[in-house]
Amino acid sequence: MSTRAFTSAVGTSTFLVALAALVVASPSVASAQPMDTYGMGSRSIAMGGAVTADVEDFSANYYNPAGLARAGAARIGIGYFGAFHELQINQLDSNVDPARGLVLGLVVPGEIEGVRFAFGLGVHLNDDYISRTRSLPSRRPRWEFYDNRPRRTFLAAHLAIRPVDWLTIGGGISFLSFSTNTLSVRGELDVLMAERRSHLEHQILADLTTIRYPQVGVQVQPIPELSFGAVYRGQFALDSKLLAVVGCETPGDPFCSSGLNFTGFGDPFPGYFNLLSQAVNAFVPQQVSLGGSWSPTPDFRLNLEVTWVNWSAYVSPVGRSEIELTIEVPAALRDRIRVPDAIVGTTPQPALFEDRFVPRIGAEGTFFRERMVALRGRGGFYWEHSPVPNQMQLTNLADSDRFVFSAGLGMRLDDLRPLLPGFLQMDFHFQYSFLPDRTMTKGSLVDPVGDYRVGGQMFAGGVTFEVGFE
Amino acid sequence: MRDTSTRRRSTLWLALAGLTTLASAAGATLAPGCATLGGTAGEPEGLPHNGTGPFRDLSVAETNVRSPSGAAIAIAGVTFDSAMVASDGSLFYAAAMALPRSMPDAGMPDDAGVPSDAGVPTDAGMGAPDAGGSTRRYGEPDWTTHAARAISRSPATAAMGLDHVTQNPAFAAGTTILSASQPWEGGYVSDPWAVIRGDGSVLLYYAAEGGIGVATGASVSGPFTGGASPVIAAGATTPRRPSVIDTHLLTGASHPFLMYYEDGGRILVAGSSDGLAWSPIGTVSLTPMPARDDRDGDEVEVGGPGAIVVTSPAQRSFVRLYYESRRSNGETLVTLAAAPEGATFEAFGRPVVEARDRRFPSAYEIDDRISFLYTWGPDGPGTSDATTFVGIAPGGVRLVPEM
Repeated sequence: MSTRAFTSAVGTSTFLVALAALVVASPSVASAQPMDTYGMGSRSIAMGGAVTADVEDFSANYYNPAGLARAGAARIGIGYFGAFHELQINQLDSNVDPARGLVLGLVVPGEIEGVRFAFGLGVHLNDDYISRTRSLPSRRPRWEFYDNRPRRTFLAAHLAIRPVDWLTIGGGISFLSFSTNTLSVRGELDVLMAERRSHLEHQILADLTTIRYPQVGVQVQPIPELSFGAVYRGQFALDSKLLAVVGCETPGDPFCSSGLNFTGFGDPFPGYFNLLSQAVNAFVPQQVSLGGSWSPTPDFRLNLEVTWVNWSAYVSPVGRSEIELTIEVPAALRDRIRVPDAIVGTTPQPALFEDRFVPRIGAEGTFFRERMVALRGRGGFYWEHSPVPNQMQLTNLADSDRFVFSAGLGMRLDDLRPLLPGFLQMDFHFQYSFLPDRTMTKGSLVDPVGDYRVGGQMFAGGVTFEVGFE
Repeated sequence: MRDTSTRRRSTLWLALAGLTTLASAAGATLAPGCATLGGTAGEPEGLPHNGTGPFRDLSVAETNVRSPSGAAIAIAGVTFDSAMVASDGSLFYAAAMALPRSMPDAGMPDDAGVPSDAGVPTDAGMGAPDAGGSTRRYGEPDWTTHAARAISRSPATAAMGLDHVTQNPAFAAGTTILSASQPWEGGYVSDPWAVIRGDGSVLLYYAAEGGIGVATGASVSGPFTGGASPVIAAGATTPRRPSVIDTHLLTGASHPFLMYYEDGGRILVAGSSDGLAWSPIGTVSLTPMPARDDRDGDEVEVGGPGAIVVTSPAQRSFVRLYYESRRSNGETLVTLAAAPEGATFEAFGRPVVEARDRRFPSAYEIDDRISFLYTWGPDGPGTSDATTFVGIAPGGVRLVPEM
């Protein structure tokens, strides 16, 4: 074994140990993330996300951490993106909230014992939410993939090495924000004039925590013109729990020491209501992406990719709910106030999603190059076949195929010394998603939702600035 | 060297200017998106309801009918019987002027000094069915205190400034198009149901003392001539509230026309090949609507059918039959059932209107998203007057901005 090979082997072992530690430390469950829907980084988004074999900026933290080790310079990037939805059910606007946020990241390359490595960090911060939990009635139609899933804060940390010139390996963990919520209400509720005479206090306890999941990737570059990449992202399912408590089950509870009392019929009488809703708030299936990148000339690049998404493992968001209502109605009022014996909750429904393959294509060309300046144009496309089956029964998960077209421009300034010992890059992207009309047909003619048609379009755009230090 | 440096600086500034321009372009691209794309955060405009509602009574601002809230039509001194909205959007309704009330003892104190007969109808409001099979059941007005009921038509008017609906859901007073003229009618006509045929001619079904008749007219405006004899004759009980559908969109329907009508606390169905001659088919089998709690009472009879053929967004055509579920406590809950061919109905099993005193439902579909449901009901607690109300589903759709 040559010295260089031995050094590489030691470095690789060190890296793999570190990587294994990261992966083993990660639980098997985590949360959904906005990048699955909108992508990360303007260059990568503009190329349709077909960059598994061709990424080296901070967006490698999402697309393929192995790409971090390709970076020849330390890079710091920051960007902003916005996505706007015009999604409709029966041609009425579903008012899916827009998503806007800051993306930033860095890539720090280095060398240990002759082995090149890089550390990467990627962050996605929503403008308006750190994390959002939404519980909807089980039958209510919802845009399962766009309504609540992207409302997460994302943080990813990865390591990558380049043991030999033609091979890079990367992996690490991603963190997502998640919350469990408890709503408590106490006070007096006037049965006869609830709005005017009731005095209620509420308390919301939100437990914000993080979810971690693993991601590993590899890039192979046998010749300079050709690159291949593969990445695996782990499955994660977020168990969302919402607890609403009205009144006091435990007399010693300091918040509800006074409990909930019903008034309006003489002496107050106590009541207690407990709602527990437990469901999978967001689920991201395991995914494998295989991609290739061909660059016949220095000024042109064509990327092709396919992603397998294991949607058949999807867990329906319609979960379990339990409702308990106790009102100690005085005997004299029992003929006027009737408390139901039991309120039936909901039980989880199988989602029956199907796996899908997502083909992607992206291209990048340099159309202007001066000594310091290079201008690049980019385009991309991918097709996401809807994994959601016809919604014949209880659930109404709205979804349709998604055809995503993207385009972008990039400007890179090199040779900026003494102003900057490196380069400056600015990328811009625009993304248009078309969701053709799809009809859901119910099994019952008196289903309270009935047959319906879903479809729409989405617009997204953003800019990314990046500074490289050589 | 100097030239190179100058050129580099120029190129740098040019590039920075380019960056600024690109940033501006990006900002300009995003800014209009912020202003015009996407929707207001919050609730959807309206969710699919499949005709099951719940139907929200329109507000006064939405109907521009002053009183009561939710009324689709109001005429001073007129009490309304059942109504329906035809496929052209016009309202066919039966109504009668209230007669001046005789108050024989008014102002003449009895022994106790309390007026004993102030001229108030004894069964004006809601309540349990009268014993003995009186026609004044489930809140129906005392028609003996009114002039003879006749059938009128109010044409649809264009809505002004409505977001989703171009037709005004409310109506002005119409013109009388059919009065009792045949002996079998017993002096009144009621329960209109109009079917507009392809050539514009109209079959106007109605109920009267001797059963259900049909009048024909060259257009929705009439003139209409009542039939010389009923097409469904009264027997031990009097059939009423005919509701007729053209079945050409249905698969497997037994007749080109089907009529649903009420008789003896049941809903029956009859078939016809031309809409003029009818033969009874049988009773519509409807699973009783269960009581949700003690307040609902049990279902004791059904009636007041209002049928409509709808085509879903999946291009499935079927019959949606709204009807009254009459309860043991004297209340009426409006619900629906559906059948693909108009014969084998699947009941919804829950009310589609919150009010517990509505009757004679008639649906009008604006499109496959928005429905109006016209119902009959007393226009206030304890009053003998009644009118036609209009509700909308999805309830989240507002015809005028919410104040």
